[in-house]
Amino acid sequence: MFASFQYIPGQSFVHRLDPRTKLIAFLLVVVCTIILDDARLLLALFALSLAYYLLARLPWRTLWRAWAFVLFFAIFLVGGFSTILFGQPPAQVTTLHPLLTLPPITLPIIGTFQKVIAWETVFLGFARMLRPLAIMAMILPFSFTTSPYLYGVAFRKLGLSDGVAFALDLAMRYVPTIARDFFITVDAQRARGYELEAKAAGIINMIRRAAPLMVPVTIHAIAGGEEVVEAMELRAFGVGRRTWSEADTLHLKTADYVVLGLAVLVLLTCLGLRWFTSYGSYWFPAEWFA
Amino acid sequence: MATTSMRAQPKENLWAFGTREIVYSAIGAALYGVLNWVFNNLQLPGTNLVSFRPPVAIPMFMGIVFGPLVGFFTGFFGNVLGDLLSGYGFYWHWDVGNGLMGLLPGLLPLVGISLARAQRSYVIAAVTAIVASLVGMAFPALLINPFVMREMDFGAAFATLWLPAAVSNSVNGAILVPILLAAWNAYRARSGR
Amino acid sequence: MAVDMPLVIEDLGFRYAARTEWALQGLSLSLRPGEMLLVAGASGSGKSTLLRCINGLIPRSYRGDMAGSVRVNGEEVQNYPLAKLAQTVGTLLQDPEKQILGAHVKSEVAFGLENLGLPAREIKARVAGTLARLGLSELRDRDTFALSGGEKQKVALAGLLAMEPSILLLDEPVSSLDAASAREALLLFRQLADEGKTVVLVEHRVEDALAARPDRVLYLKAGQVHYLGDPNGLADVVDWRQVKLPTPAVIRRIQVQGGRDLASVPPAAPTPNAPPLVAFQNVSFHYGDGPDVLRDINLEIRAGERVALLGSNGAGKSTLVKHAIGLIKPRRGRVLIEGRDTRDLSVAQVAKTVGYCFQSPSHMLFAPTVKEELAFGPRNLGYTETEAQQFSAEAVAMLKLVGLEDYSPLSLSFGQQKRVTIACVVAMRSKILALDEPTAGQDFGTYMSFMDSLTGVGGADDMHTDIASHFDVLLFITHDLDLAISYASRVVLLADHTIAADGPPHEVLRDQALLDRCRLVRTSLLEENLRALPHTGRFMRVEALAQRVG
Repeated sequence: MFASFQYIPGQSFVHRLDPRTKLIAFLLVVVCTIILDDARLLLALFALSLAYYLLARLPWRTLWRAWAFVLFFAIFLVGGFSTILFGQPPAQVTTLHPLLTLPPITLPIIGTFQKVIAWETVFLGFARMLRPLAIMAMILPFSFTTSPYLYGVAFRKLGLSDGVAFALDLAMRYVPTIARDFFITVDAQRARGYELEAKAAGIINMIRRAAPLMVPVTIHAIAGGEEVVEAMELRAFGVGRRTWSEADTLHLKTADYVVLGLAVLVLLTCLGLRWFTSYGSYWFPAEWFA
Repeated sequence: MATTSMRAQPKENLWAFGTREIVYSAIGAALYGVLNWVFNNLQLPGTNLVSFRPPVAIPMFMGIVFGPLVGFFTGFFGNVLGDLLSGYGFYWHWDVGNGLMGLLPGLLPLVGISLARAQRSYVIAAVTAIVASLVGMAFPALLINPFVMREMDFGAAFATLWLPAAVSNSVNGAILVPILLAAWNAYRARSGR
Repeated sequence: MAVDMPLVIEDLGFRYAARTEWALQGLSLSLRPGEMLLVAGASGSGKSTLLRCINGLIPRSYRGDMAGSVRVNGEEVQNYPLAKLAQTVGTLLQDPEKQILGAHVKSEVAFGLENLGLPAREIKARVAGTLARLGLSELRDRDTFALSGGEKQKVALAGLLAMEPSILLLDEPVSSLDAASAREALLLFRQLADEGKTVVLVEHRVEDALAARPDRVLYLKAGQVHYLGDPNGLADVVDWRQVKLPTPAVIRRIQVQGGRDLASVPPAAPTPNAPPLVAFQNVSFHYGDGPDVLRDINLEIRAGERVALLGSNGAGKSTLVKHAIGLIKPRRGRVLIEGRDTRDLSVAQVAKTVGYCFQSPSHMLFAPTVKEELAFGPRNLGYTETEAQQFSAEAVAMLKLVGLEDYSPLSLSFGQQKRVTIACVVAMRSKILALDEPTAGQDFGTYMSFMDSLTGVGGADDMHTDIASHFDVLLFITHDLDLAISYASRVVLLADHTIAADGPPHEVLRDQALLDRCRLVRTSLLEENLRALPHTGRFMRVEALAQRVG
């Protein structure tokens, strides 16, 4: 295995956006999902996010894993299990429209009970699961179309200090080195008869079995730290404000202003609807079930 | 080589972020990211819904040894890197939760505890790991999810998000943080730091 | 005092805080522009302390008592602002892995300039200029991680040169390079001195460093100046066991002073009729869809052999050994361990025959005590707890680790750790001891006595137990020609992913064209051995050679 970031180079519309644009657009959509409770508006927001996601032309082959994870979380955990099955309807709901009644279940101590699933919680669950989906559609383009080597300079330009921004770059520098060291350690321990797949009795022993791998890698990684500090000081790190010589690779273009303007507009629309109209809060079309 | 040990290491402000903190933050984040990635891929037996994550000990350990900011950066950015390497998305509130797991152990000096080389310190380290897990995971699972993102009711978030993560991280941390700390103390004894 | 001397040191001394002895004492010297000083000495002799006094880490980062003065371009180093010092004195660390801070070559070379806050345009121009000067322009956008060792060292140097220092401090810069890359780097240092830079080169393998043609040599011993002067005079005053000197000089010294009689070391020979412990049959291997890393390897190893696996970096040495320990299974052909195909064996089962020590102890040591560390292998191999304890105790005795059983291996010195890693193999009762670069990370004197104790040379010394006799075979990977000459009964030379030659050292290493093809550089020990070969009939280490050619 080789430690490689899942960055996919390309020339799509989203690829050509400035990393800062992608990040700010993402944050604004997160705020929108927090403002909204209305399933209709969340659906519209998700549709917009999905359009943005599709503009990035990311290969499904690489992305299915991320989507599988969030779909499972959104549909099964958030929507299904914890809302529709076991969740409470919102406080303002007074009457419930039953969808189906599950067969009675008998449990020890608790006794027999029967669960009624209501349309109200179905609408709630639907609205809730749209949040992680919209957020995911906004962040995946950032993760997969932005070279991680630009994080340092991008966050520096967003106002982080030289130190924190450089720490991001330095972390990137160490990822392949530490991954290589990890696999050397795996080989070294296997040569001593250690088997990765072997089972151990009990949870504690199972966790302790991580020690022959984790201890050498950890100590080896931090043991050289003081020398790195010296290497940096000897090359004048920290004497003053740094230049980021790659900074000119980042600049906002027309497309960036369009995307940012659109994102701000969406946010303002959400705020306006929420404050001045009945749109935005929990929506249940009772008339459909009259 | 041994003379590296004689480098002066003044007791600095807990919140200082100088060259040393930058270096250990970067190393810690890369380490946590790589270990998250390999343990995600190794898929050890007996781990289904709750992913088996021994690496959670790394941010806690870094927090204890190098302070709260290094612990936070290790947990936060290491988790981001692990997800980037694994091809997952980006879950900012869980990243912050992981950051808190590294930050909290770094606050021990505030309550007057220093993990010197006494045997007892390993018990304290284990307890610290548990507290850091419970509180760290509470941020995304009990605060952000039910009250800010409003994806689940508190009860559901407690049972399906917080409990599995907090318990699994506590057990992993309580076992592995003392082991890592003992190894580091031994290494320091060699180089006389 | 002439102001145009770029580096003037007067009566310099330093004692680290909490230490009683001085790390460096009474050193005075001055260097002119374009002068190269070679600094030699064993570990702990004060070499690193001297460098720290010149680059300002002392007294900025290290506390202690300082005596005398270091003046760079006429001004006390202590009074330099850091930014100015970084543009005056460039320090190349021993391990480029620690020195390199950028993920890409261009960001690494730009690092110092960015810290100085220079305009981006100027930085880019200087980066391009420096890379071009060192012939590295095509590496500009490459990941630093993916560079070869020699390239890494050059890129690290480019990062310093971009800051245009007038003084260069080079701390054992070639210790991790193979011979050809080391030679190339040393010639580059010479060129920099010729261009007017003042160069301080620290290197304990004096023989190798002489390729850079230093103007003077400083030999430090326990913090004191033992010799300072012409390189030719060094051989007469220093201990050739501590510093690697050119072979003719060593031979002269031994003949004058007398040396231990080592001619009795028998050339270990295999038992011809014994079945091979390890057999490679037409083995080829490649990763993924990549090119062959190994091609048509045929090799048999029998009890009684001492095998050196020789080749430059990237020739396929470690892939070959990973096949022998079952970590990798061949794509074509097969590897037999005592007659059984590794495809049918677990790595643990193979370990009962072949025990392998990785290069760096820090990649494997993890247990809370030495005892536990040694019992780890036997337990994994399925021995009972009693057996594991017993094997562990035997290994402790054999490797002279008595008294350290309850210490954490991480708290031991590097040399002790190295012994623990070998004890780990002893405790597994493997028949073959295989070592990857056994000399890495140790200075010359230390690694020679380490190899002596491994191979059972030199008997009388307390440290020298015959560890090799405990194993049927000793196999070591190395890129050091002299190690193969001094300690191997058989050399397997790997080049271009296949075996280029296989046989006794004096047969394999005779062929100059072959050595060139394998990026191996002739050493003076090889040349003296070749000269004496008609009388000696085989290659031998320098002590034995000295007695024969006298």
